[in-house]
Formats: sequence, C-alpha cells, structure tokens
Amino acid sequence: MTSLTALSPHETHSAKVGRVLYFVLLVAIMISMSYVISGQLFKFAVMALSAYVAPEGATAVAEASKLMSSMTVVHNGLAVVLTIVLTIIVVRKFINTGHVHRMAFLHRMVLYLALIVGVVVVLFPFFWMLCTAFKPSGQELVISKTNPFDIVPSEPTLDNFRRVLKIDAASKAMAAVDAIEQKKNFGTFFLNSLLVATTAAFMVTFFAAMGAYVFSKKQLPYKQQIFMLLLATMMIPGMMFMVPQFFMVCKMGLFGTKWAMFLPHLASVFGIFMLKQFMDTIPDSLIEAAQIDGASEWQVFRVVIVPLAFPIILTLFLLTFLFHWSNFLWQLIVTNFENPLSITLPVGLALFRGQYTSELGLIMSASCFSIVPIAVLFLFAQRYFIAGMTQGAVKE
Amino acid sequence: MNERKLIVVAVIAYLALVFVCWDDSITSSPDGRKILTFWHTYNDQEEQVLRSIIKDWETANASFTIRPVRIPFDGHKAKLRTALTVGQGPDMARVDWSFVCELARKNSVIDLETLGFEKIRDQYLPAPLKSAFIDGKYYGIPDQSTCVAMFYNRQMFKAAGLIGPAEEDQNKVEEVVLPKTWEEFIEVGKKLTDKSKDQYAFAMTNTLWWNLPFFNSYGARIVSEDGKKCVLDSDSAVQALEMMASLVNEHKIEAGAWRPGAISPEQGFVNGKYAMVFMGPWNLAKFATAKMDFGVGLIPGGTAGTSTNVGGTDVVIFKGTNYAAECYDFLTFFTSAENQKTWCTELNQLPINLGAYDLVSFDDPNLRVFMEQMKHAGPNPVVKDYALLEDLINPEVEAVLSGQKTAREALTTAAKKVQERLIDL
Repeated sequence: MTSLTALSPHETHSAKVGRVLYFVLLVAIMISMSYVISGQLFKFAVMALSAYVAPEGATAVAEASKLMSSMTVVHNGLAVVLTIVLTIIVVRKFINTGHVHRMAFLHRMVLYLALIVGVVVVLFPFFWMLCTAFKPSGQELVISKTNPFDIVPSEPTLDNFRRVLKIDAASKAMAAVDAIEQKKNFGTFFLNSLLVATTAAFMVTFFAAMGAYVFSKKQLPYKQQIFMLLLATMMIPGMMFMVPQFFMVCKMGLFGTKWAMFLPHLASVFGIFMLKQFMDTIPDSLIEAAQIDGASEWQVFRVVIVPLAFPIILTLFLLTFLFHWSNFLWQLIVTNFENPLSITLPVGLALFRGQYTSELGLIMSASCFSIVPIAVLFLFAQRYFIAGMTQGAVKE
Repeated sequence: MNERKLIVVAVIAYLALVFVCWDDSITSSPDGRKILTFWHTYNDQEEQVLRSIIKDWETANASFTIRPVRIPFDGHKAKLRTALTVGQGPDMARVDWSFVCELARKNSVIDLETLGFEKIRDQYLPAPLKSAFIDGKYYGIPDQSTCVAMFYNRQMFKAAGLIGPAEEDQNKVEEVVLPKTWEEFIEVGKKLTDKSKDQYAFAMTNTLWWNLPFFNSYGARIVSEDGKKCVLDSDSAVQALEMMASLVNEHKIEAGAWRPGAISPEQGFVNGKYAMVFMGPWNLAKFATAKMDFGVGLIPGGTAGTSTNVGGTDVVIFKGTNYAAECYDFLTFFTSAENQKTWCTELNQLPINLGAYDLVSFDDPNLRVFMEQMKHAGPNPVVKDYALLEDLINPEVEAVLSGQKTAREALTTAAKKVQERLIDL
C-alpha cells in the first residue's frame, strides 16, 4: 500500500512528513550501528597494531595496553568521522532523490540495514575468535564490565600467535633439543593437512564422478541392486569401520604415512550418490549426440558429463576437503606421534588442550590460521557451491 | 583463458605442496642405545621439566634412552586402544586415572607388584593410588594429581562483610569467614546471593566427578571397595544429594550453572557473578595473571568432614615392552620425592609423593590450601568404563536438582542401572 501512495502525484503533506520521520529513524539506527561496528573494528586495528609494536617480554602486555589507551582518541575519532561521513552521504542521497522514489530508497535502506545485522550475526563468532587470540592467558573468559559487547581486549599480546608458530623463547629452547622437535610446529601440521585434504578431495571427486557416470548412464547387469548395496553401506556408522580399517592400514605398512590419512576414505558412496542424482538430470540425447560425432567413452565423460556436472563436482570437492580438513579421530589414530611430519592440523590443535585446562588463546589463534584455506576455497567457489547444494537436492 | 591460468597456478601450487610435504622420513640419531617410548600428555612447560628428569635418569642408565612422545589428551584413550590392538603401543604411557581400570581388565598393562611395587607403595598419596588399585593389584603409579577446593571471590566477600576490617592495619591478620560445614556454607551463601544484581553465592556443574566432593564429605561412596557393588543408594549418599539439591531449590544460593546453556562456573567466577566455585589448582596461575582478587578455602564438611575428589593421571607399563624393569625404574625415579620436588616447585603442582610434601614449600598460600585439601581426598570410583558411569548417574542427579525426583528415588534408580549395565555386565 505504501508504494502506491508514494507513486501517487497527489500525495498529502503528512505522507511527506511521515517519510522524513521514517528516514530519520533509519538514520538513527544506522548511526548507532555504524558507530558501534566501526568503533570495534578500529579498536581492533589499534589493538593489533599495539600488540605488534610492543616488544616480546614480561612487560609486553603492560606496554601494549599503555600504547592502546593512548590511542583511544584515534579509534574513537575514526569511528566518529566514519559515521559522520556515512551520515552525510546518506542524507545527501535522500535529499537528491525525487519524492516519487523516496519510499523505494527507504525500503532499500531497510534492506541494507537488515543485511548488515545478518553480516554481524554471522561474522561475530569469527571476530570473537580473532579477539580472543590476542588475549593473554587467564583473561580469555573475562567480559568487560562496562560494555559486555566490547570484546576487543584492552591488554593485547601476540604471545598466543608466537607460541602457536613456535617462535617464542620457550619453543626455541625446545627446538634446540633435536631435529624432531624442530619439525613439531604449526607450519608442518598446516601443510600436512593441506596436502592430505586436497589430495583426498581430488581423488574422491575423480573416482566418484566416474562411478556416478556408470551408475547413471551405462547399462550393466544388476546395476540397481549393486547401487542399493552401495547405499546400504551408508547405513553402517563410520565408527564400525575404524578398527578394521586401521588394521588394514597397519598391515599394508602405511601407519604414520600420509597415504593412511585418506586411502580408506577414497571410495565415497555419498559422493557417488550425490553425483549420480545430478547426472540423472543430464539428457541421454547429449551423450548420443557426442557418440554420433565419434567421441570415445573417455571423451563423452570429459567433454559432456564433467562440464555439465561441474557445480556438483565442485561441491563434492569442497565437502570432501572440509571433511578431511577436520577429521580428527581417524587422523589421530593413524598418526605416528614419534614423527611430527605425520601430524595433521586437527590433531596438532588437540595438543593444546590439557586434562582440565584448555589454552583458549592458543586454540583461537591457531584457528585463525586454520580457517584460511576454507575461507579462500569458499570465496573462489561460492557461486558453484550454493548452486550445487540445491541442484542435487531435487530430482525432477 | 583466465580460468586456465587459475588451474595452472593451482596445479603448480599442489605439486609444490607435494614436494614439500610428501617425505616423512625424519633423521634421529641412532646411537646404539635402546629406546623406551613414553607417551605422555604434558604441556610445553611440563615437557621441559620431564626432559630434564629424563636426562638425569639417562646419565645413570647409559645404555637406554627415553623418547617422550606427546599425544593429545583428548584422544589418548582412542589412540592407545587402537595402537595396542595392532601392537604399535609404547613401552609406557601416562593415562587418565579412569583409564587404568580398563587397561588392567583388558590385560594390557603390567601388574606392578611383580616389579617390587609393594616396597615403595606407601610413599604415594593414598587417594590417587587407589585409582590404580584394581582387583587386588596395583597397575599404575600416580604421576600427577589434582583435586578441587573452594575458590572464593574476595571482593564479593568484602562487600558482604565476610572479610574482617584489616585493610588499614597491615600487621593484623585479616579474618575471612569461610564456611567450615555445609550449614555455615548455606548461611554465608544467603549473604552473598543478590538476585537483583544477578549475583549468586555458588555455582556448580553436574557431572559425577565434580559432585564427588559432596558425596565424599558425607562419606558416601559410589562403588564398594572391592568394585563389585554399586553403593550409591546408601543413606549418606541420599543425605549428600538432598543437601546439594537444597542449595538449588530450598535456599536458592546456587546459580543453576549445571543447567544446559548456563554461564559456566569458571566464566561466572571470573566475571564476578558467582562468589564461590569448586575448581582445581590448574586455575591458580591463570587467575593470578588475570589479576583477580580471590582466595582458596577447604571444601565445607559434611558428616565425614571436609573432603574432595581426586583427578590426575597415572603412569602404566605395557605388557608389550621388552624392558619392563627399566621402565619401572624410570617411572619410580620420575615420581620419587626428589624429582617430585623439582616438578612441583617449577610447575606449581601438587606432589603425589608423601615424601615430597615435606620438601616442597610453596609461596602461594592458595597452593598450600590445596595440599591440605588433597590429604582429605576421597577415593574415586574404579570401574571399567568411567564415562558410562557418568552417563548413568548424571541424568538422575539432574532430575533431583530440577525437582523432578527425590534424592532417594533417583539414587536407587541410578544404583540399579550402574549395577546392571556396568558392574555385572
């Protein structure tokens, strides 16, 4: 109804005033949100800077805290300036918008504000993680008394990052013991996991795509029954396989190698199922056309099937990558802890947790690094990923 | 074209990754000494002290070397279970106290009496030692032990007038009104609770291990001495649970931290919402660096006086080792009074060796309270699957706390379940 009145040429004075009041209300919300959010972000930047500038040592926290409080004006000022600039831009835009389009402008503003709330809700845990990574030991759980939403630490330190990357004094002393200790660092764990997860993801998608192609498009005796049999294995909980698989891996002499990390998981029934569901929607006539043009079996697969099923293949790649990136239990079992070169990230992260205490700061700073590959993958592949998630879901 | 470039870059990056990571051979100097592997779950600082103790032992035993291997505490049970099935286990390991029983009943660890343990047995604290006493034999040596005591927030105590006015006069010892019995605890608790400020006197979690101080202070046990009967339905246990429930329901001095999703005792304590919580010595250093104004007192006493639980770890020797005597020699050396003194002074931990109690002197008065509390610890229930024991009992206790069942009803059900599904099975 409101849009109708907005478009009407004979609008009343009160409608105009109503719109302006509506606008003022939205601007007030925007100002408060902008001030709070940018205030936290600038404070975080100042905090990270002062933690970085402060030298390593016993007085580092005190110094960084002093530096930070001396820069309170800077981050508060920046937040105020940003908010003012933003307000001016929005108000000018509103004034420059013709009366007819003002309601649409307001609707768009509401939409953006709602989206910003959504973004804050989604990103808040990550921001919290980043902030906790800068907190000194013992203060991870302390909440500011004056403002519980102010989660940026006022006594920042880089010690957690140093300890995770093993570049603090104590770790250097440990590393001097022998070659094995030198290799026991986050970098090794990270690269190991990257290798295991990418290799596994490549191989799983490759095999699953070929398997799914056969189950979807080829004729073979008892195809349906074999497929049902495969699906039935999904009913068995993964835990049941663990000991036999471990036994086999050990008998093959692969204990503590990277092969052991992913070899038992290469045959992914779930992957075949997901890809088959998608490939069923590819018309057979396309394949026949390719065959008439003289395409070989492999060419049909490569030129027709894979490009068409690419979104879903990429989805499977991402899901497999995620699975192996965080597969704690299996990797723990096959890790040979005497050889740090076989330790992967989820297992390495668990080393920070004790019987009763968790080094929250260390876990958080390590997590900051560990989410990077996943974030990068999602950024590159998000379009396909979201498309793939829904495409496999419905079979028409 | 752009996409192709991306693929080429990805392939090159992948090949580089393979090149960097594929090789997992590592050079360690083989020097002819026999290697004893010791799986442990210590943290960085602890590992450094462990290495120095190992060095001392190696100078006396020149033909052996000990390789300490750290495994994550979170997965140490799963790791050991699977490694032992295929014979990849270590010579010795540090395991959670609750795991010793399973290892012993599965016949994986060596009975220490065969190595002469009865001669030195008496030097260890009785309560931690009991967790390694299974079916009449000792299978593990306690290497680290903890218990919980009562942490209190001094600022909140001052605000409630429970700390005497000794601030101005430095010479006068300030008087803290610490509850000695549960009745006093309730009385003090009422002064500390202020619901309008969302402030509570006490907060607890509801898991069996954390509830043991309540049961132990009434002399109640979970499992009988010989491990054959669940005695959770005893009168003293009912009395203890009734008292616990009264803190929540009748006197309303407990914050409900045991409810799912509530603010945990540790977080509430750090942020000044809960005045008293039960916690272990592992938090002392953490709270000190956070500049908290807190103190530690003994857990209030019930009919059996003050008492607490026992946590920590034991070291065990596996049957697969070829050098049981050497392992035993190292582990007793590691837990001897002198080495415990080094260990405890450097790491601010409680000794498990009674001999070390006289050698260690802590500057921290709170740690001294813990040493005192440790002497009054009650033994933990020794069962094959401790996690299952928790799973069977916790829901019943929760039913009492939330007022759905009476203490006797709940404990009778729990005792029956434990007997049927854990002990008799």
